[in-house]
Amino acid sequence: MKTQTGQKKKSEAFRNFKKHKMAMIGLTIITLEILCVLILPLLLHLDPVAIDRTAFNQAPGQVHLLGTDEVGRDMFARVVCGGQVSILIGFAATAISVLVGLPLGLVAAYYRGRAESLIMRTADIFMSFPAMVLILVVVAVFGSEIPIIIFLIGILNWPAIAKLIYGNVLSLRGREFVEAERAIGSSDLKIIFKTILPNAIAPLWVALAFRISSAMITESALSFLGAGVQPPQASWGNIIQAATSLAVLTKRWWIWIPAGVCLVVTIVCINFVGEGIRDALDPKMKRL
Amino acid sequence: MARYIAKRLLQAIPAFLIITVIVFLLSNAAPGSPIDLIKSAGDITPEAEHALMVQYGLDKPVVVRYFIWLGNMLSGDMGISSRTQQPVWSLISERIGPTLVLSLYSLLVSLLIAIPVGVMAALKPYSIWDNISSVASFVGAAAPNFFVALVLVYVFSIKLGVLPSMGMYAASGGGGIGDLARHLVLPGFVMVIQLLGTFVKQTRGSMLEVMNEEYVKTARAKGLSELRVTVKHILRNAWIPIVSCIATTVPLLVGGATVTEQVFGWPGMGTLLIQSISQRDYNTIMGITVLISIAVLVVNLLLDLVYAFLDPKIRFD
Repeated sequence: MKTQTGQKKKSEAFRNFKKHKMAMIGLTIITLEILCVLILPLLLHLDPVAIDRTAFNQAPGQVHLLGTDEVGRDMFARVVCGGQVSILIGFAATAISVLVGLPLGLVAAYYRGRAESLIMRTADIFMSFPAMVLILVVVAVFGSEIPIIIFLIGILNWPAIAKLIYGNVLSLRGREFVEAERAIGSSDLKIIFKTILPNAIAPLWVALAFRISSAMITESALSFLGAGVQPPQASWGNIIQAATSLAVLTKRWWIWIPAGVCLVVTIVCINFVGEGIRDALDPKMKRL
Repeated sequence: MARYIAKRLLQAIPAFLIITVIVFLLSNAAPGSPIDLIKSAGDITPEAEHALMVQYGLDKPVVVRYFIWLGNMLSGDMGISSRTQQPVWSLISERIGPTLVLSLYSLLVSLLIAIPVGVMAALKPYSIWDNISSVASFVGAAAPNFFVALVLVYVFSIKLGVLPSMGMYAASGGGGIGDLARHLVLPGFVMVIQLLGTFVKQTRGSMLEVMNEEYVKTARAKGLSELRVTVKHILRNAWIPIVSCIATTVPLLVGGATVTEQVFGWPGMGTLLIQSISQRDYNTIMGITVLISIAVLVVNLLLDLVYAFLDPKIRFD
């Protein structure tokens, strides 16, 4: 009975999602974008660090679709390959937040007691401190290789996921079907994985979308400040950094505008998908 | 109430210690000590190097250094900046004002816009206010602040030439409140769009929650005017979660200010932090970080107290 209603709920949510126009447009653009950044570099042999000595600061044209920067690197190649890095960091960092936050939130809410106060107090401390400042300090110490950035953004976002799961599990653990499961003597593991988790996980999908986009914003801001992905490797944030030079900002729009537009479009689309999932899972929540 | 305050104060201490220990260990694990920087500028004798180590206290074990530093700091001595050779406190203290001006201004402006818009959006669903509130929360979550800042500089400072893009006062003949106001427009705008979304969403959400309560219906049934019901009955109860929402934006204010300050050359703590990090000026990095964590803890504590004052249930929990 339970799985049947679960199935029905799922297919209903899926239908709702497909009806959400902005979410579908967002999903389409994101999918195309991911395909582009993965395939185009291989297909067109794009090299984000190759230097064309015959073209410095060249405006967009036939040879260089989006022009070149001050050392003659092709901006199209940089935007595409930079996208690869930015998107990778957004997804990977979120995966880390979930891997850390999900189990901790689950344990805190299910076992309560000391584990609960320890985990949730730690989450509060993490959340009360400006992540940007801490990341800047850590990166200054350990360097800003991509795995370090992914780890930092991921680890600093775990409390958001943990709190979400915590709240859900807490409201579920006293419900009749969980009590029933306990009464027939099921093990904690079985209750957690078979009964609680499937019911607590829905809001996570919504949070995931917003976590990915906020991780991408953090990465690009870091790279923009010079504390993230280091040149010559491209990321959207460090491409935009070029515009802190007045000459680039005023005279060479092709160096910074395309990366900025890509970043904004990606984030907007991911957030649309998030809104679509939220509305699809709970049509009543639409107005909140 | 006194017991509650004492309890909250005691809870804040471990958080403070944990943060300072983490940051202290981090900045000490950093490669390239200030001595290395001085050495790279020219050869120095081993004796001179040792003298420098002693001067900076680097010859002692890390744990001892942490406690020495913590003791010094609690007595108001944050050490000497290895970058400018000035006392860290004097470096930081001149930066506190500008950062406060920028963040309080942004906080005030966004609350002044967000609360009326949020209230109207909750009272009149599907109206223009409701649309403004969804757009505001969407933009707030989706706009990378540094890119928005650059576009604003491009449009308003360079193309239109109507607003300054750098610093807090004009270099020539500046000063005065009018000049400051002009310099605040762009960085303030960048911070406001980030905050606005969160505040509008929260105001609208907590209004909606309270609006369906029985006592609101009762107030209406008594024949009170709509304005009176909104202000005296709904808003009075709805603004408690709004207060706690302000607390959650404190890290955003400080962290977001780092990026905004950097783009607009605002002479605040954010730009100082970035300068200090690039020069590995440990004492200043530590000083700023500690100050920020104290600020965050104090603000949270104050809001907790406001909260407890507004809602007696919390106090006696």
